[in-house]
Amino acid sequence: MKWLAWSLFVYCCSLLATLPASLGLAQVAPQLAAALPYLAGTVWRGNGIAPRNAAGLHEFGWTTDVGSLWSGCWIGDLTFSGRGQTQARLCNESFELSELQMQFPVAQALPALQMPASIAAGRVAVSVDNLNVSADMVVASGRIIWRDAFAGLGQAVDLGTVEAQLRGLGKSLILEVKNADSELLLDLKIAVTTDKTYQMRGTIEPTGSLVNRNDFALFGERLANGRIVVRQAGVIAL
Amino acid sequence: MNRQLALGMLLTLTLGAAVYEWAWLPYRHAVSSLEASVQDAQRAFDWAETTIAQIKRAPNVGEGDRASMQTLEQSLTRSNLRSFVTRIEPRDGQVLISFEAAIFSSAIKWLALAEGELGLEMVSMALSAGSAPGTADGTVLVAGVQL
Repeated sequence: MKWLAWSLFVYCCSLLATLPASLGLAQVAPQLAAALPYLAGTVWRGNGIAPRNAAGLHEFGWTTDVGSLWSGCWIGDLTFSGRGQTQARLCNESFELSELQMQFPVAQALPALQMPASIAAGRVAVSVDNLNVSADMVVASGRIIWRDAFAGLGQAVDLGTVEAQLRGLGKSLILEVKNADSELLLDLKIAVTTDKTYQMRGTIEPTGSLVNRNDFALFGERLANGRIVVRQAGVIAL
Repeated sequence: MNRQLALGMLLTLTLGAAVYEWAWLPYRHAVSSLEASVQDAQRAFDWAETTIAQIKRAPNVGEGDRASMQTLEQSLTRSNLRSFVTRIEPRDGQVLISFEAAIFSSAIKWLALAEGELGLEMVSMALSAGSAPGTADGTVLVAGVQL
């Protein structure tokens, strides 16, 4: 009888140890499970493929912190196609990323913004200390640096080093964008909402050899001080 | 007696867990997978129907998997750019597209569509501000079109 009890106990443990990730995720977060149909491995360790190629990071892997499950939340490490990693916490309707480090060519991110990949070059480094997204609030701190930044429709402009500071405001993630070492000065604020839309507001200011270029007027109205008002909105296709 | 009761409860719990994990969870997973598959199949069917119609209309069926001139023109129409195009001209195996007073956002949308969906390569482009705010004049030279 004692052996039978132990056998049952071991059996239960083995069921738990081999619980497929797709089944586990479907119970904890059905919407996320529907969005991620290609998962392989167990709830403890595995990998998957996101349906769309977001910044070339569509392959991801996870490792679960076993002790976290007692709290009723999932906590673990995520890796993205060998280009980045973060610690993640998935709890009820909210998720939190901390110490997110990621690098990728900027061209890989542009299709997600419904822009042609060929209009920009350079490499983006994302460093997020904390990103907490829930149904009614976004909390974030971190920065994104776009080095060796070039962009343009035809005649590319050297944007130098572009830096965006991240913060949360209500249901939006705010990116305050400025740059250095360039004749085109950026002062933009981008608001990304939880329903995957973005709005960009601010100014660009051509200086030096760029002052007389006509094509900057494509982005908006030129003010008396030479700055050009930019207003852009769109959908993020992730 | 207490041991037997505890063992009985453990057995019941185990059976319950086994039924939940091996029967109920796979059932729920299968149902949701089937529902997702139906939606995917519907989308794939719509896409296939549209594509087959395009292929049937195309004059150069079987000449390769590159975008045809007709597909190129359809992409311009989809992006609300076609009515602003003043010229589409084959040039040395590539295609030169000129447009005037086009809505700037439509031009960007078409460029993204041409690169991302049609797999065209932007060899060169020159855009300038049009006479009206928010409009653009320009020419784009693309490669990868089946002429």
